[in-house]
Amino acid sequence: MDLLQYTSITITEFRSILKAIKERFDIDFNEYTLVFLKRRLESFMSAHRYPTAESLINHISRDDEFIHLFLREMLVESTEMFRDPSFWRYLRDFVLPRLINENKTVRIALPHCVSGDELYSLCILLAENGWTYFTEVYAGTASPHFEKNIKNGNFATYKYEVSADNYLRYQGKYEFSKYCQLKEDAAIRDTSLIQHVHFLKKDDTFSFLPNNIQLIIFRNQMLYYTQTLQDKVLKTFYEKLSKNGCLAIGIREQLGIISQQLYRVINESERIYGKN
Amino acid sequence: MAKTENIGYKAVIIGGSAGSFQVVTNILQSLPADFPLPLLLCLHRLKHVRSGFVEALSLKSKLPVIEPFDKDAIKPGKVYLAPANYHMYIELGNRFALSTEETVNHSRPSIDLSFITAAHAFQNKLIGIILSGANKDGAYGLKVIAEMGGFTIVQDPNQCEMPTMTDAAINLFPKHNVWTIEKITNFLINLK
Repeated sequence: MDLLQYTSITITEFRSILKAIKERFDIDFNEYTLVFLKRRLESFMSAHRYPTAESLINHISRDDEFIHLFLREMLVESTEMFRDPSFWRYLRDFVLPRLINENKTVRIALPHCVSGDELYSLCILLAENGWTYFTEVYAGTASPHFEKNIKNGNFATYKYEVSADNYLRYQGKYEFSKYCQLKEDAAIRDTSLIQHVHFLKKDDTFSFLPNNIQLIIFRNQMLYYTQTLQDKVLKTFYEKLSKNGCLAIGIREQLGIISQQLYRVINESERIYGKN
Repeated sequence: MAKTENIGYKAVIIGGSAGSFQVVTNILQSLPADFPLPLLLCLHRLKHVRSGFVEALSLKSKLPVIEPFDKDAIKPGKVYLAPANYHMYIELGNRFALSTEETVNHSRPSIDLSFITAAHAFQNKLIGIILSGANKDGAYGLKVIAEMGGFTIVQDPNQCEMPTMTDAAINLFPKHNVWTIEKITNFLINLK
């Protein structure tokens, strides 16, 4: 989607569109940040040729499949694999060894996967260290489209080079090309890496997550949430985490004042927290 | 000098890429410690290098240079640098919002996105400046700032190491003020 192309709508129209989506598909965007969501919605309207809010609302009421296209365009993909290599190194060298030591099985959850880049990065990390059989990995997706796409191993070619670069900085054991084949117009990931992953249908409240999780990886997702929604989600994660469980958020994200009471800092610069 | 002082500007936003680092350093060096506005910087930078840039910019700056976290409040007298590999938006309520959305003009941070969202947030109380750079990111955003009534300045392309960015801005909207670095710096120092 081209973020510089957009069809301008008013705040009232914007609210009406969100209301229509909520009523029709029971997906709530009301607590997403305004500037982000309105801009992205306007780009969506331009890309898919909805000249007015009314035309979009009409379409929402008529088309059952609309929501799949909508989510595919509106939800933000992770940018690459092994983004922030030092984060993945810290996970490999400090967080996971401790969790594996302390628990018979380590439950790891990625509550919201769109393109699966973080999921594949994690699974490579686990495989390279022989940890696959000591871990249970849960991945939430908002629509079956995302799950299928991830399971097929699809990977955007434009992410290949930066991911290979990151993998090198992460200091993995092999070559990135072992996991991802670059062909002329597509890149395909080794799907055996994610064979053991449990895919779950994501809901708005994250109540779909299992209990007693040791590690939740939720990086760069709360950027699009209001403070209220952030605090709500962080409270749910707190309840889903086991004693001494860990939470990872994006490098430039932070816990609000309310959520700071629930977690303690494990690594400040990599944004890793422990349950209080 | 245009009569631009005392009309209550709320922020200055500067975009640049190749060839802009030295210029930004010089501007920061010249600004007084009691500079009255927030100064937002959206500069193209290497995706994977997280540290070093802020430190380099801080060396000669009398104002604190910060990479904002998502939802940080925007405060006067501080310099904010868009973090590596994030877009930097200005949200309502005078706060930053970061984003990992797709690149724009092959860039993240994208100067266009920072400029457009700042233009909507600050309207005619914004000063937008485009410096030297090797692609056209920022040209569209600077036009939006001008259209919203903000004050817009382009570094004189004859002075730029890489004039692609400044040329693009002027071609898209010829009414920008085209100034030398000395004039830009002088203008900023005199902001009240």
